[in-house]
Amino acid sequence: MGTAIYLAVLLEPRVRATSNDLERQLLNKTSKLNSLWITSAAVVTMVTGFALISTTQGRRFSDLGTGGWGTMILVGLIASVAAFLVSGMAGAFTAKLRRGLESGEATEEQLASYRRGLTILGYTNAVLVVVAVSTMATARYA
Amino acid sequence: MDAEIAILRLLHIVPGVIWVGSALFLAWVLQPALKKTGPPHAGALMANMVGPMTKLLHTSAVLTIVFGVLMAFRVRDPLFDYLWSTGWGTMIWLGFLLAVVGYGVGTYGGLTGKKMMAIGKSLQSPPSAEQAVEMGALQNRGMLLAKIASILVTVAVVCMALANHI
Repeated sequence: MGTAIYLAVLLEPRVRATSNDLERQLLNKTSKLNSLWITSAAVVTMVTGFALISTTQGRRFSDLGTGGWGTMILVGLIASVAAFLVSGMAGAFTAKLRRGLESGEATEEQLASYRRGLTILGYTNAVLVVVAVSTMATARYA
Repeated sequence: MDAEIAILRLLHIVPGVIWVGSALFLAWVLQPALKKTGPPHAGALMANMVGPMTKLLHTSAVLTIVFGVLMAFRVRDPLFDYLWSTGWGTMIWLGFLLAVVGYGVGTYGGLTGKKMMAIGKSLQSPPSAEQAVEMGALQNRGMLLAKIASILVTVAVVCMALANHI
């Protein structure tokens, strides 16, 4: 979540405010590592989350969607899966942008459209992970 | 719903996740990538980023620590009796200590980075061999401190997360 917010709010807008050359170099050096980092963190979080539900005394998967706890966990689960998918789409846009910058064949309009898409997906991802963490963190008290 | 505890948890956990995630990303992904990219681009980006990044990290760290302390007083009363005599208390004070030390180390790392940027800004021409060595040493120190800080705050999270089960 920290990485998602850091990327969407801090890093990407500032990289775009510098130059195409820096954006290309930085994307080359970080985009694959970013994807690996975010995907691994998301998968570990979700898998251990499922394991926690199954090992928590008095809680079952059938409780999801029922009662305060079940509703909050279900909302958190949906938000985190949605964030994972959005993050995957952002990865695809990043790859398009990287290829466009590298080949020099993409027009300025195409690059602008990839950047716009990335901005929207980045902010959507950040909002979704905040919702996921917030609902999970307060589920016990719902 | 116990609204007070729920709100305190939100104000503790959400900034905490932002703080730790950002610290890990900065130390292990962004800084190494910027080092490889090198001048003049890396310097231009960092000059652009350092203000908002500092605000984000300091705000999230302070919120995490302050609301964490408030929550600890709220969930165990009297807190100091629990802190020294239970497994929960040991994990909580250990997590608190690691978080504060991690915050201090991270802040010192940030100051080192600012020092390096100040040297870069003052340059009118490419740096001399001596200045390049000094800037390189400051960059390496800043990166090392960021890594240490990120490890400390991650261990702090582990302690806090396990506290209820010790």
